[in-house]
Parts: sequence; structure tokens; C-alpha cells
Amino acid sequence: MPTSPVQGLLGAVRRRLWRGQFVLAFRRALWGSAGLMLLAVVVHLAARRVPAGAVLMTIAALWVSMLAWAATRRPADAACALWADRHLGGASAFTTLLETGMGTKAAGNPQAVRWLESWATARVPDGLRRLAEWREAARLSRPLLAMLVCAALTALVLSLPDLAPPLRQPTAASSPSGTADPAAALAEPAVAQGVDKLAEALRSAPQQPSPESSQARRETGQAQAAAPDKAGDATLATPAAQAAALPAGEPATRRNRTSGTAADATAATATPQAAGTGDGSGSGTGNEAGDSRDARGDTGLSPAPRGTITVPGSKSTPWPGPAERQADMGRLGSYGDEPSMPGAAVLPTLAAAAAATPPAARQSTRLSPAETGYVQAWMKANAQRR
Amino acid sequence: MSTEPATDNDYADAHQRLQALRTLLERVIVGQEALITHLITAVFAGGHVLIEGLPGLGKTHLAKALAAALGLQWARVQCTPDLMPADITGGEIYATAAGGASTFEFRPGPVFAQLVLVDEINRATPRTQAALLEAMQERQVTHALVSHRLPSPFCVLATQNPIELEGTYPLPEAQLDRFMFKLTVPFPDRAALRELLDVSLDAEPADTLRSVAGPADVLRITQLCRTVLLAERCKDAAVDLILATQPDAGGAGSPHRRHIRYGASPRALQAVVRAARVRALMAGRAHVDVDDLEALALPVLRHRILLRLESELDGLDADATLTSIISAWRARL
Repeated sequence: MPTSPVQGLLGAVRRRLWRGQFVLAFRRALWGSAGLMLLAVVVHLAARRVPAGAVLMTIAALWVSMLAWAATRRPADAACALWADRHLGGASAFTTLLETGMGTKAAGNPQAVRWLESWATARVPDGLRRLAEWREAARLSRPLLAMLVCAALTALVLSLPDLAPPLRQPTAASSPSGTADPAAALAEPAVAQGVDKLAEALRSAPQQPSPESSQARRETGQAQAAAPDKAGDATLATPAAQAAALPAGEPATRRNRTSGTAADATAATATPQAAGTGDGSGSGTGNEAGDSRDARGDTGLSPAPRGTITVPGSKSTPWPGPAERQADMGRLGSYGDEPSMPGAAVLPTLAAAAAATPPAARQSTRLSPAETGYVQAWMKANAQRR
Repeated sequence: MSTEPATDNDYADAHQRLQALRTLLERVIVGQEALITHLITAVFAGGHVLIEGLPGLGKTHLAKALAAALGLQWARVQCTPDLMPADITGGEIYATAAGGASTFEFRPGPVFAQLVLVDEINRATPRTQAALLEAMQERQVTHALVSHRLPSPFCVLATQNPIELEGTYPLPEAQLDRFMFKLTVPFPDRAALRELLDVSLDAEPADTLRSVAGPADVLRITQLCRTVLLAERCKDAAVDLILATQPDAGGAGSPHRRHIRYGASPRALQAVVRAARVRALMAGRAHVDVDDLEALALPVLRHRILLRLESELDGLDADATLTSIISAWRARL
């Protein structure tokens, strides 16, 4: 076994190494505390309110575990001897002496052990002096500073009112399933804003009819009521009448849109006429275009068809009989002038309607202010969605 | 050979004698302290030394001084290509006795000295080299089916010249492994050269040296060195050192290990530990330290490794490679 001076030196080394373990645990606890406080700040700002008591409890648990870890790591004799050999000029004497004390050596050469013991004992005073002069930086300033900064930051953030709920509420309300998809939660406010703009634009588009078009629709209804005997041709006459009722300077798109709404109104008024009422007052009580709620912006709802859409081109005259289908080559030159063919009286009306209909290319290139607003809102919402 | 258990006085006496021997040789051979220490270590560890150096650096003078300081019988062999094995080991001659009877009797060669200086060993033919190296390993010479024991202690100091290699026969690796150390003789510095003039200009100090020990002391100290304690940590360190020179060995090592084609042999492990014991005793310790292994690693290993051809073409030599390997090995301890 090592002699008493050597044991004293190893004991001093053990105390120093153990103290180093505590310093290491202290340093780790400081870094860990700083990390925990930063984590609490991040959670408090991003997810949910973090109570200060929970943070303190977690830090206390960390410190207790670190100190317990250091307390249980008592340096062994071999570690002390090795450290003394390396740093106190032991030249492997203390390690060898420890091994001889454990019986692994010295059975055959006790003189060598005695020589070794005397050599090691002679090195003890110098070793103690070196140990007293040994200075190893604790390196606690950085973790201590970091912990102080984090503590101040944490105290500041945790004392602030909870900012996260107002940001979270729209997200939670817009998610019907309640699933916590972070990407969807981030995208939902922008989508909702875009949808709101879209709906607003769609609502504002039908609610701004021009006074001329409303007046024209009313006049059209009165014209239809004044000619009950021509009810069978009402669907054909109405677009032409509407087109005629529009002022000459009205854009072609306005004309087209007006004729479309007039077709709906015609379809609505055609039913009582077909029932034999013959009263034109029914058309006067119908809803004007733009008076009904626009349901196109509603999510997941398709607007139900409100009536049969009559297309002027699809209405044809009754098919002529088999004898009349034969081409009369003698009347070929005067085909357009003589209304001898059945349904020839309708042709001027159709020609007038065709002349009043603007070309399709111009219809698609020119937008009304409401449509322009709709398109701009849609593009903005699409850009925000991306 | 003494078989009595060592006493504290034995360790102290051995330490004093080794110190005295080193001091004496350092006074005669100027500016070669490391060479002298390694040479003493090899002699008391029972090894042989291959000394490489330019002509005129005092190799022969050192051998003579060592023999004189230890009181050993010494012989010198100057190797040439026409040197025959019998010129070293000895041979039978026809002798006529006084009574008229004639017999063949064995006449020992120079190898039967206690300290043999083999000058320019690489100029001898491989056959002669093999005869010498067999004697070094077996410590006996067999002639005409009769084995003749070599004297004890027995140490061979072989020299070779790193220049003028035309007409030489480089020693093969297997025979190089028989040498415990390969020492290089550095050129002395200015102060040593200046002191050299004062010491050996008008006299041959090796001829007038007074011995500090005899052959019996050499044997006793050699035996005492075997009782020097070796901790498990030092054993592991020695093994790690040898493994660090193996190119195919696993574990962490120096990146310079890839330059080695063949690493050190297990005989190198024995050599470095034996030498470390002598060095520890020379330092007054009865236990080996890792520093002893580190100090002796280079002379033990430098002739036992073989570098890759690519590394040699890149200008690397064994010393540079081993220095980096030893540094990496020491840092891991």
C-alpha cells in the first residue's frame, strides 16, 4: 500500500479532482439554465404562456441533478495517481506504487518496491507544492454571464402580457377540424383575407347597376306586358327590345350583360304567359338583376338554376313540310326579299338582334369596373396565397 | 552472474555507476550526449547498436572509450567486400605441438571480444554479414559442429556510412532487426568543436581512461535492470507505441501511419521496454515511466519500419514519420 505521505498527496489530489467535478457540474448547470430560460422564452412567445414557476422548478431540478452527478463521481485512487503522475512530476511512480499495493507486482522484487516507495515519498513535498500552485481556470464567467442575460430576458418576456392568443384565435376559428397543421395555420389568415376580398368584390359587382340598365329592364317588362298577343315571340323579341332600349353610346358589354339578364327575366315571365294568363303585370313584380344575393362567393355552394335559359339562336321556326323542303330554284334570286317562306317574318328580328350583339372578342377584352375590381381582388388573393 | 536479491544499495550503486560512466564518456566524447546515453543504455540492456554517421565524427573513438570505461575486451573488424566469415568468427588452423603431434585447433576470431566494433558493416558481403549477425543473436559460434560460446557481456557496435554507397551491401530488414538501437551521429555544434580541440588535439583520451566498472558490474547492473518495475499503464503504452507503427492496425493513430509499409516487430516491443528499464535506473528510479518509452522510441524504431516508396519519393524519411507517430501516441496517454 502507498505510504502515508503518498496517501496524503493522493488525498489532496482527490479533493482537487472532486472539486473540479463540482466546477464542471456548476458550469453545465449554468449553461443548462440559460438554455432552459431561452426555451421558455421561445415557447412563451410562440406557443403558449409559460408560468414562471414551471421555469424555476425545471431549473432547480437541473441544478439538483448536476450537483448529485458531481457528488457521486468521487475520483478513484487510480485516477488520482494517474493525475499526480501526469501533472505533479510523478513519472508513473504513484501509479506503479498503487499497483504494487494491490498485489499485482512486487512479489519477486520487494527491494524495487522499497526503492519506489522511497522515491515517491521524496517526491511528495514537491508534488504538494505543485498542487498548491496548480491553477486551472474555472471558466465560469461565460456561462454565468449567459445565464444572467437569459434570466433578464426571461423575466422581461414572462412579465409581458400574453401576445400569442390574439394571433392564434383566427387560426383556431378558421380550422374546422381543429387539426394543428402549422403550415395551414400560417396560410389561413392570408387565405381568409383573400376570400373576404373576393366575396366583397363579388357582392359589390351586382349591387352597382347603372340607372340606364334598370330603366331599360323596366321598360322591357312593360313592353312585354303591352303585347300579350305576341307572347309566343316574347323570348325572341325581348333581346331586341332591350338592345333597342339601350342608349346608343352604351358599351357593348353592357348591352350583352343586359340582354342576358333580360333573358332570365323573360324566362321568369314566360311561364305565366304559357299558362294562359295573358297578363303582363307578372313581369313588373319580378326581381331586378342585382337585387338578389350573389351566392357565388359562398364556399361549397353552387347557385341553383333559377329558370330555363333561352338562347335566341336555339329558337327556330317550325320545320317546313316535306313539300316545302324542296328548293324552289325559280325563287332563288328573290330569297331575301319575299317573305314567302314560313317563318320569314322572324328573320328581320333575328338580323336586328345579331346586329345589336357585339363581337365576342370585344366582349372578352373590355371589363366593367366591377369586373376589374373582381379580377384585381382575385389576383391579390392568389398572390397572398402563394 | 549474481542471483542474489537486489537491495536498496544495489539500485543506488547502479545508479551511481551509470551516472559516472555517462559523465566520463561525455568528458571524452564532446558534443554527443544523447549518443552516449543511448549507447550506455544498449550495453546494459544487452543489445547491439548500429551507428550511422559520416566519417570523422568519433565513432571508433567512442567504442574505444566505452570499452576502456567499462573495462571490456574489445576488438575491431574493418569490413570489406573480400572479408570472409572466418575472418570474423575464427577458424581451425593446423597446429603442431611440441611433441610433434599435429592437430586442428579452433582459433577464435574478433567476434569473441566483449565489445566488437564492426566498421562499415555494409561493405561486407551478405555471407559475412550473416555470420556476424548469427553470432549477435545466438551469442555463440558453431564451427565444425562445435559451438563456442561468446563472452559475456557481449555487445556489437556496427557502423555504416550513409554516403559512398557504391559497392555496399545494405543490411536486410531481418538483420537490421537484430540491432536494438540505430543511432545517428550528429555533427557537433560550434561549442563542442571548440572544446574538442582542448580535449583531444594532442592526446588520445580513450587510451588513458580509468574504468568505472568492470564486466561483472555490467552483468550485475544488467540483471538488476530486469527488476525495474513496469506499471500496467506503461505496458499498455509500449504496446500502443508498437501498434501505432502498424499500417493495418485499427484504432486512432497518426495520419503519418499510412506512409509505413511494414511496421515494427514484437522484438521492438521487447527492446523498447528493456531499454526503458535501463534508462529508468540511470535516472535513479526503480520503475519505468512513459517518458522513458518516448525517449527511446525513435532509436528503437527507426530501422524497424519500412516506408512506402511513394512516401520516400515525396521526401519523407523514417525519422520524420516516426516523430509524428510518437507525438500522436504521447498525446493520447
